[in-house]
Amino acid sequence: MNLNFKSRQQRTFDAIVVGTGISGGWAAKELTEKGLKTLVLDRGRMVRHIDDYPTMFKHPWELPYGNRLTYKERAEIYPIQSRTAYAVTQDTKHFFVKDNDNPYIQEKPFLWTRGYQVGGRSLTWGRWAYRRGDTDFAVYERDGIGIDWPIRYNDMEPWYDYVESFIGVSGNRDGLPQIPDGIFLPPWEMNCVELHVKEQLAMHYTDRQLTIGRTANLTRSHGGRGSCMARNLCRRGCPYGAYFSSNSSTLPAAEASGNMTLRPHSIVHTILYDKETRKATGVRIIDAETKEVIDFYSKIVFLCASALGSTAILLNSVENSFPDGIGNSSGELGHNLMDNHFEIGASGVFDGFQDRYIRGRRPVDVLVPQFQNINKATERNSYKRGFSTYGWGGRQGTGQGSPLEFGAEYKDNLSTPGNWTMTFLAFGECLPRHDNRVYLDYSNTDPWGLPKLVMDMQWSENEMEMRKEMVSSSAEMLEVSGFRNIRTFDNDSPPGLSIHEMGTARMGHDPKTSVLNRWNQMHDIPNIFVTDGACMTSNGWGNPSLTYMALTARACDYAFNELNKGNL
Amino acid sequence: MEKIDRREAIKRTTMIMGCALSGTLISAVMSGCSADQSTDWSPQALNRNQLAVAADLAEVILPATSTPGAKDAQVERFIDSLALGFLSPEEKEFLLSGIDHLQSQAFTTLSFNEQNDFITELIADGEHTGFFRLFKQYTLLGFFTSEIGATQVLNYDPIPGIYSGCENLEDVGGRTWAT
Repeated sequence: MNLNFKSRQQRTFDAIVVGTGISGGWAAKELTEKGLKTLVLDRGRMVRHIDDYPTMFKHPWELPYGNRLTYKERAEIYPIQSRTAYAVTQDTKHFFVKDNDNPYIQEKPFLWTRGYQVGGRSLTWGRWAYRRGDTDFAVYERDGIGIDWPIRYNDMEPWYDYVESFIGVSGNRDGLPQIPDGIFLPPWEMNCVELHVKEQLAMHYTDRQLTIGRTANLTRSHGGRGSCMARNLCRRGCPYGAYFSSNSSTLPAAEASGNMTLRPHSIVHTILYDKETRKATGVRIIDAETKEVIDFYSKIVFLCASALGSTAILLNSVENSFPDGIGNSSGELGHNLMDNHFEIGASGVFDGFQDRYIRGRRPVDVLVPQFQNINKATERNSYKRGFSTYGWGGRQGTGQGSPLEFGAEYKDNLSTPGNWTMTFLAFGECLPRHDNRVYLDYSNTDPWGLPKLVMDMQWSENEMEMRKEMVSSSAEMLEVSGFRNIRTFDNDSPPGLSIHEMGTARMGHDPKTSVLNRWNQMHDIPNIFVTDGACMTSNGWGNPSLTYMALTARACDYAFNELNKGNL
Repeated sequence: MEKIDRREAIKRTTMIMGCALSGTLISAVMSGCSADQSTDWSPQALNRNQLAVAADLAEVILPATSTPGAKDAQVERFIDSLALGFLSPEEKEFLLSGIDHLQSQAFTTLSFNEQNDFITELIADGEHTGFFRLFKQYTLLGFFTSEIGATQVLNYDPIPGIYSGCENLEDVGGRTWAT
């Protein structure tokens, strides 16, 4: 440790927030706005809103290789994340880690997508913003799987209101308990074929409906940020600030409070712990650029380093009191790893609407919300929990025709839009299982000398059973809507692929079976809060980010009040 | 596209033309003695003959009609950039050997109509279908992400401002959106 850095006093804050993504940005905003002097750490480089979005205005011809990663990039630099087919392209690659520089161990296949920079993955997230209802929070009461969430929708509702009001969520009030309505900006509209499917599903089913997606893209200007221009280039960073990211929204608010000290290039090594007081006293970091080791001190610590990042820090913080990782008296730390399984569904061709087309590029799709196992009437015999089905309609573009066609007529055909098509893609819930876990390999260290994280997770029979209905219902919904050439797909969907990894420091009533209490506070150490995906008790069907935001704001409020009462 | 400076470009061109120039001569070329002076671009992965084949084949796949074709969009330059920095060594070898095969058949000396017939037969023959599919895939990628392809053959709107899901096709230009 470098004693010359600054005096201990200068390295002491009211609060430390680890991470600046979806959760960390919110913790930074809430704690600083309440008046706490807060050190906000990120392991990556600084990314300033707009200034550091180098590709935001690039035309297709200004990007190399048709925007695709090169062979070398796919084979050597991004061999893992290029498999996710999500977003690592020439225009966005600077917002994703280089796999080869940031190693981890796949005891079983686990595709880990990471964005180590200020703003984290909030820069590149999918932006779908859904509340969870008691169909999720009370699910244990119905099926007894895993453990019970220590909270219910009533606890969360005001905090969902609070975060939605700040971030701006466009959506329709659908009146469905599995996706509770919120405070919405005007919804995006469906296109011709999606509206057709919506009508057909309404005619053929009583248990499901097609809805427009709810997204943190502004359909009108909101909170000083501009309205979405329907470019659908969000992941490059938005020049209008028209989608929610930490960089565009929460970090500027924290900055404006005057109470934030933001320190990039700060890799948290361990939590500092005082055996006498049984509290955390701060964190030890490694400066990513200089490799200097520095200790920072605070009254409270918020871990928001992403589910596996936060869990790795806790596991690495080994003390006599906690030989298996700090705050791990339950033995559940690192366990119950979950992620959504997907890459399954169907697509079809629709004859009709030949004289109709779209204008603009909508930054969200449509959704058939979960219609299985949400109540007694929808119980399935062959599997527990359920899935939601994303969909999108559009007209075929330059991919029309057979691979061997060429010539004048072929080319002119491509310049006219082809048939309308619709694709359904289902995302399913994964059960919490103690066997699915991460742990540290101390014999195998990363470039900063930290033990590598080992991923040990696989799907269970329940997920496989669920997938049967995920694919059959997708095809059936197209069939009843009059589509032809319906093709189903069921591709490899290894854990990690959906980038919804969660659950390795779960919340619960009982300190013997859970790591965090109902306030995201560690059962064992009251001044450590974990408010990213690590806290999740159940997986749900997808799109967890809004819940992380609401849980974070709620935990900050609680922590601040406890601090004032002298309880922390 | 990655840019190289003019000096480097000229150096590479002269290497390909089979003569290495001294620094003084490079200055001379830069001041206007080169046959290639009409452009500051030269191929870096393909040789001149391969480039000509690539240009002709791309034009057969996406010819100029009432709208511009592959040559107008300089798709051969895109193919060259792929061969230089994008493809795996195996893919590059596969692509170039297919191009060399066409060259061995004097493809570039044929008329456009003869080239069309030649490619039709090549596909029917089956032996080089894999090459054709790969070359066609990259031709489409390069053409429709080019400024000419995106804006003059397709319809490109960088900042739509709104999303509207069910308009009259003619009211939105009647053409496929580029993005």
